[in-house]
Amino acid sequence: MTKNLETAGTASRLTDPLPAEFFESAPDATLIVNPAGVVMHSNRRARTMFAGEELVGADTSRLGISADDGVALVRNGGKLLAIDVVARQIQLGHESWQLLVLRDSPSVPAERDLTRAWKNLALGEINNSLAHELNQPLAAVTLHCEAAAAAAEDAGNADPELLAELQRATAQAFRASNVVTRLRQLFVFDIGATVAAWPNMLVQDAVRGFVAHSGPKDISSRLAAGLPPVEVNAGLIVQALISLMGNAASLAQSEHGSIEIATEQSAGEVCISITGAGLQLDTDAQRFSPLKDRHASWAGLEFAICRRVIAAHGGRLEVSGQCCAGGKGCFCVRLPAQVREQ
Amino acid sequence: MSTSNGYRLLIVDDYKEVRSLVSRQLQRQGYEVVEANCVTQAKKLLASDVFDLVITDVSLNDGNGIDMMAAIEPMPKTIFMSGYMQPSMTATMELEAGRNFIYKPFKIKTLAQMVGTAVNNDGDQN
Repeated sequence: MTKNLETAGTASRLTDPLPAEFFESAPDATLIVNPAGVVMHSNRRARTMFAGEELVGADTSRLGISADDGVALVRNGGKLLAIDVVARQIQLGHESWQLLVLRDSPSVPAERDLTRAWKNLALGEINNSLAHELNQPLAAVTLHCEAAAAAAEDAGNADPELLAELQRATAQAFRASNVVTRLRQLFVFDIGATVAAWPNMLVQDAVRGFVAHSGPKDISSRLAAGLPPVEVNAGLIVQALISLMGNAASLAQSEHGSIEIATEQSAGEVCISITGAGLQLDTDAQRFSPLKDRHASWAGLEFAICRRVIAAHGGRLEVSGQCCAGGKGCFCVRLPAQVREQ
Repeated sequence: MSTSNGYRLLIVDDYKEVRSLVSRQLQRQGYEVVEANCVTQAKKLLASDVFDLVITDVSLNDGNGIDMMAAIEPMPKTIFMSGYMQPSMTATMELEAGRNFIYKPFKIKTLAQMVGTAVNNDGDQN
């Protein structure tokens, strides 16, 4: 038995019968998966990690595990856990099974880091909006001062004391603007560590997270096969997709509509589209502005953050009433596809 | 009233005070200035008229000044104004403070220098 344990940890083949008692007490969460991707054995640590999930007999894709991209996001008691997946091939007779070791990963943001990043983004967005709104009147103040000085000179009444006061007023306006700028610099956005993630896995995680958060919804998915991976902070992108689905669902719900989430590849990009029957989207830019949100049910700030998160990954968020079949409203998250080395 | 220098400018800003003050100050320097308060109005003017330079705010009530100008082929010389610049703005085109971008608030003298350089430059200013 000890021999099997060592072999499993260091090599990629395991020829003896499965040492079930070893797996049960192993310190890392461990699953053994048959060639069809179905979990055949799980240990105590894995059952704790996937609290509430029936592991044996479950499909690994349903559990949100991808051995290929080396990462999984799992729900545990309402919390999102980011874990690394290390896969090893084990030979059972003529079949190649997988031994999956799951470890909490410091390189992938977990729930706490994700919450902090989202909060930071929200504050950053509010600051951006304040910067825009405050700098407009400050610009007007400086221009008024300059206009007053010019008018005084034109009238031949360029009192040096008056001009000096106008210059002081201008200086104060610039000082106020600098305060706004410094506030914005407190909330510099960094997407943090990224991993190569499979788009369909991101979608599945987002659907699971959305349903866990909002309850059962009328959601269908259409996922393209063979998509290339995307280099992302999986936690942030999943959170952005959940937020977009929430917006789509709230708008579609008023018309008793359903939403569909789909993936496809086009021209070096992966497109994740969220389409809603009954989702009426015009194309003006107001929805992107957190301070100009005209829709009562529309999370304008969340939407602005989603756009920022996606842009930070080199992608873009498109909103259209035209881009999908049937003229339904649609959000398209476009992310650059990762180029694989030959 | 200043003598016209022959250059026509379009200034686009939904903040009336900034728009009219910039317009007035540039008129004093001899420019002919036409004003627009939104993307829709600006697009109509750009489709029917010719301007030597467009000065536009980035965030407008009905859209984005960068997207508005990027959609015009060939794109007129443009100076963008905004209270802040974020990375998504530079995804569409290269913006450089002092050349084709100016932070609000600004001194009219600074903007006037940029305008003078832009209209006198025959190359691709953007």
